[in-house]
Amino acid sequence: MAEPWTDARLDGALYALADMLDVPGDEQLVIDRAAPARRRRRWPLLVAAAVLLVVIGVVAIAPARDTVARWFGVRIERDDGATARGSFADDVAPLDVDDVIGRTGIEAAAFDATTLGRPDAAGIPPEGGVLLAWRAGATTLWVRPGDDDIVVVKKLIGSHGAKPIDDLGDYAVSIDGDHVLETPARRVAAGRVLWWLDDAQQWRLESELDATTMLAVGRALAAS
Amino acid sequence: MNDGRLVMGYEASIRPADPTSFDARVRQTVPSALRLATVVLGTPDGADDVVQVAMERAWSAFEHYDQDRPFRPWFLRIVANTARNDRRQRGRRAALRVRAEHERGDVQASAEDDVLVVIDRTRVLAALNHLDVDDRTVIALRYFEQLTEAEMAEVLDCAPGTVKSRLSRARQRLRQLLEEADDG
Repeated sequence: MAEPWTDARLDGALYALADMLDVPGDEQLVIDRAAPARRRRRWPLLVAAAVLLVVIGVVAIAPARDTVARWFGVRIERDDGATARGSFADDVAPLDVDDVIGRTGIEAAAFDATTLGRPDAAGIPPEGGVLLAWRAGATTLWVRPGDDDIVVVKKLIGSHGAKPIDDLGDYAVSIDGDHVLETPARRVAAGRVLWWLDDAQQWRLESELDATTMLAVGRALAAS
Repeated sequence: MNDGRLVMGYEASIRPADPTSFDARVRQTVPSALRLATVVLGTPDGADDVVQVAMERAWSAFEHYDQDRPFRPWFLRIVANTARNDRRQRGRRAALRVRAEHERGDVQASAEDDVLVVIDRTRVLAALNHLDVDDRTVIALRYFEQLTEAEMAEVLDCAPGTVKSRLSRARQRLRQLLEEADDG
């Protein structure tokens, strides 16, 4: 008579199988991030932009909403420090304007065709990327690689909000109101900003010009 | 704009998935992933391709992975789903087998108990090949990967209570197959 398959006998045989099972080796496995990189690379930025909208929309966060905000990676903090209003161009190392225009991948003529015209100055900000600046409207255009990974924005009480822009790049948002842009290098007070993302780069246009003019500039550059 | 008055600010900070962290976690889990893929497919053939695809999917999803949760069940769930899809497309029949070199080694050790263990193992493996993929998977997660019920529930995307009943039924069917083989 066959020996019964007790729990102990069955368990023992099953546990023993783990190391004996014929499985392929791992020699051919490669952790390859290249294939879906394009899609993947843009997600943090899209999510960041979405969170930015959430953050800006939450003007008065009640305790329960505070929990939700933390879940989104949003932190509420008291900010006693004054942030002087200045230009994002303040700490920028100057460079030749045409050279910087070349780095944006946009023809110089495309800038000439906008309301702003050819930039008056250009350089490299401490955060990386390149910056173009115009005297008109104290305007700056910060162009960074699309896979730059940190987006930090502090929004002050009294904001006028932000709204997504449908037909600019792959994702765009217009921020109209005082806020603080905090980067790993510095914190800068900011006002009206048009931010958009396209295939390879992210663009941040800040200006005292009206929002309609800024949007026209953004669309013209994105289309070129 | 801000003249020193107290203000409340909101900060949003998004950081990308850390490739170093992902690599280390995946490497630790690869042996389990290869085993699970083999069990779900029912054969070692193509299991490495399944794990390769699962790794790419996992990396794509890693940004949304909650770093506070255990990585292994999360990754094995992706492996199991990838293997199921692959199996569905190819319609494979289970043909799990024991590595030949280990069998030879065990037999050469030659004590009677060792031989019996080898025989038991061979019978159990044959019975496993007759189980359906759901039963094989739940058994593999419990006995091969030694996951807890909570971890199994995450891999199988079901409640822990469901895991318990599924495992019980799978063992019951396995035992029945073994007894039928003994009788036959």
